[in-house]
Amino acid sequence: MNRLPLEGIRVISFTNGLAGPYAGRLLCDFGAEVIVVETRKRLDTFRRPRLCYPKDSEPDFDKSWSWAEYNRGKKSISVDLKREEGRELIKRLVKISDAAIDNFGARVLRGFGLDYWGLREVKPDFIMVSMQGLGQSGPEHEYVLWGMNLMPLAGLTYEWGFPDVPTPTGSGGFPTDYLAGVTTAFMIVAAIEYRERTGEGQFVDMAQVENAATIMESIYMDYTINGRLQERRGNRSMYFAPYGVYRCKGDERWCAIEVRNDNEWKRFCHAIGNPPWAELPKFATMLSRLQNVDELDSHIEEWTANHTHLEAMEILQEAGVPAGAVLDGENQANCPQLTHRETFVQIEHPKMGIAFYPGVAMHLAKSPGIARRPALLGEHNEYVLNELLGLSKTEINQLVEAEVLV
Amino acid sequence: MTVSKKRRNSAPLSPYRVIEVADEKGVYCGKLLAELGADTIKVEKPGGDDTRNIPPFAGDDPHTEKGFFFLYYNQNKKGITLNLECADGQDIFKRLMRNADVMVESFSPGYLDSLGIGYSALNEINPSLIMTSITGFGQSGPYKAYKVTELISFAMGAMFQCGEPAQPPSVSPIMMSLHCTAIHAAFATLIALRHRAITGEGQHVDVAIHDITVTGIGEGMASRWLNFEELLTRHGSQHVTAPAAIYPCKDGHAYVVGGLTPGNAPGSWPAFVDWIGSPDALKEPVWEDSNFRRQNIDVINPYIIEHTMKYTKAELYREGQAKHFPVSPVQTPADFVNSPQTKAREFFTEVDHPVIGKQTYPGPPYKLAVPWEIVKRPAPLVGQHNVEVYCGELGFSKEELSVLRASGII
Repeated sequence: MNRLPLEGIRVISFTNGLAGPYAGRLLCDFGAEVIVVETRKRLDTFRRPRLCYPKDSEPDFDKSWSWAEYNRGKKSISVDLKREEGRELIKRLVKISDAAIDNFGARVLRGFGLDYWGLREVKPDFIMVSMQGLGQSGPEHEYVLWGMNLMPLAGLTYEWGFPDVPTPTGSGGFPTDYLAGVTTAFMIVAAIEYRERTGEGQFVDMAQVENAATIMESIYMDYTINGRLQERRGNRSMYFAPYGVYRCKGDERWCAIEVRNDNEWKRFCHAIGNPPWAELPKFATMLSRLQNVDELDSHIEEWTANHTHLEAMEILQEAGVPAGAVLDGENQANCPQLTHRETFVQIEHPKMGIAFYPGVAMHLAKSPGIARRPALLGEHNEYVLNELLGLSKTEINQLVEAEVLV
Repeated sequence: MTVSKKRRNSAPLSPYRVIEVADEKGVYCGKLLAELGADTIKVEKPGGDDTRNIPPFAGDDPHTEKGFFFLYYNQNKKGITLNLECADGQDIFKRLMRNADVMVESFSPGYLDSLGIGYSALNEINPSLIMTSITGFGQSGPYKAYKVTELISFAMGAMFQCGEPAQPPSVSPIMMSLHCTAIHAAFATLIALRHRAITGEGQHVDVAIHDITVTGIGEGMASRWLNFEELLTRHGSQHVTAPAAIYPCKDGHAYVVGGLTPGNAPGSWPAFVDWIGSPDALKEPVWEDSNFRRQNIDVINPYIIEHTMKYTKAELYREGQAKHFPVSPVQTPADFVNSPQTKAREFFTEVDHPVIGKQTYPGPPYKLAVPWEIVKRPAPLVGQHNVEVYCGELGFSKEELSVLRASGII
């Protein structure tokens, strides 16, 4: 097999939950050696065995699905950072590593003397991305924040939901974790590129909240430049109609449809069989459709109600109209396009057996990357301490007995 | 083009030339590369790219140079115009690609091939070229010709879980799946550059929004089904742990989380009960189990709401955080812009643009300990760099440029 693009790059992962682990997973996929520093004394939130694989397994942090999904491919060492000996081991590891990812609270690594400024003393050209919710500066940066807190802070939740419902809801998940995770991976590779040319390292202070804010540009600029505070619009567009999510045949079946111009409107009408209402002048232009959007949408639901969400999507897409079924997990698992792309892959694990994981999500023709299994907690203690750092087996056993490796 | 040593070293991507021929799917990819110093040229059709028409506009004036989307995502890029659908345009494009390192494109699969400037043609001209293609569904497969927009990709990848159970799935108010995919494409482009540094060869990078949305912001709906035959459904703002949801307060809403920390420590369930006024009904030991709380959240909620309604969102934020609960206000975008935290980090920056003047834009999502040297420039005007690129680099005379303009090629 060809050398992977990031082979030889060693990254230390001081991470918990989703955002930091996602960054490391992307680096792993292309050959970086990512070493997670964890301890059973204070398990990663995702290691806590809430949902274990296979289904109905006894609780076991080595079978925790959330951890496995976001940490596949990495190595794991179990080191208690609260112990001086543990921190010394990490500093020795930093000397032979290239970069670190940190999404602990802002006080954690700083308190241990293992933040960038501490580690730079050990390795001057070190690269580190710290990705706290609000960054490493400012009056609120030490606040305790989880993924679900960040969209509300950015103003994104306020904009997300239906105008006639008093409470906004935001997204079901944690998009900021993925945005910040992939931006972190991007910045690490960029910093490595720079270091190889100049010999200089870098510290990147990445506030997760700013990753969401960065893609809310128009909402903010409408405020900072036009002085307008946008309000929730629900599933409607100010500019296009038809636009939205339409109820289809069956329970909880929906299809998104978006008609952006006259050409797509003609194709849409043709695809749904040119019903008489579609000929009415009040639906003839984009402006008139927007003015009569309630009536327009109820006519469209007359059509979608007679088709499953997948049928509606196929009929409209065949006609060249943007349409997308709101796929549930089962639909996605059976999606012919995802199957064709091998988006999910089966990987075997010593305790969990064979499970489906997200594969390498980007297709690089000549350096496709590789999706490897997740590690058991502390599985690589011997590799890292003995092979990389040169500790003897006796010394390692002493660290285990002293509960430094735990 | 000769590049001085200093310029080559000033930023991570300053040795590279990027050509971007992309709509809203690829524009953030180009921006990320340009912001790290890549010499990035945006190729627009004569008259300007369609993304110049994305509202809103400065002063609500629907002018080619005033769309916020275009102004924001094309900072640090140069802009040229070129008609790719005619022979002269294709010929010029190929000349441009001879010394390009990266091309970012987002056309439907097969379109560039039909013009004779697809990957295989460009690879012959420049074998070290990296072409990063960003499409809805990828370069092959049964959905490859499907039309894609933000609404469509978010619907297929993530929307089933968004919103309240009693309402339809809820549409994202921003281009969440497109931009998240564009960051992945920028990352993949750097990986391809490293592969090229090792092997000398370029390659085609195929990034599909559907893949990224399903495996990323779709929050594992598919893997949950594949591994557990369990369907994740809409749950409003309620998280799997409890309490963790949006609650009303005096002047709006706040996201309130209690009991994530085990035991009696700050942030724990007993500490939370204490914070909300120690209602006797919540003191039974049975409530210390998070799963039980999640199943009986309707019993807990009235007590929480009674507490939160006494305070403003800012007060809840301050007091909750002082007690180590992950509480945050549901800020309006205006609150975020004006918050002391945002101001202290100088997240918003001033950009001077020849048409809309000096205005406030969101900045990049990172701060650097030692800033790399990047030439900052506002988004290009239509064809602003035509003379620089066509005459300065490709050697056309001003007279030839006039011919190209007259015949609709640039």
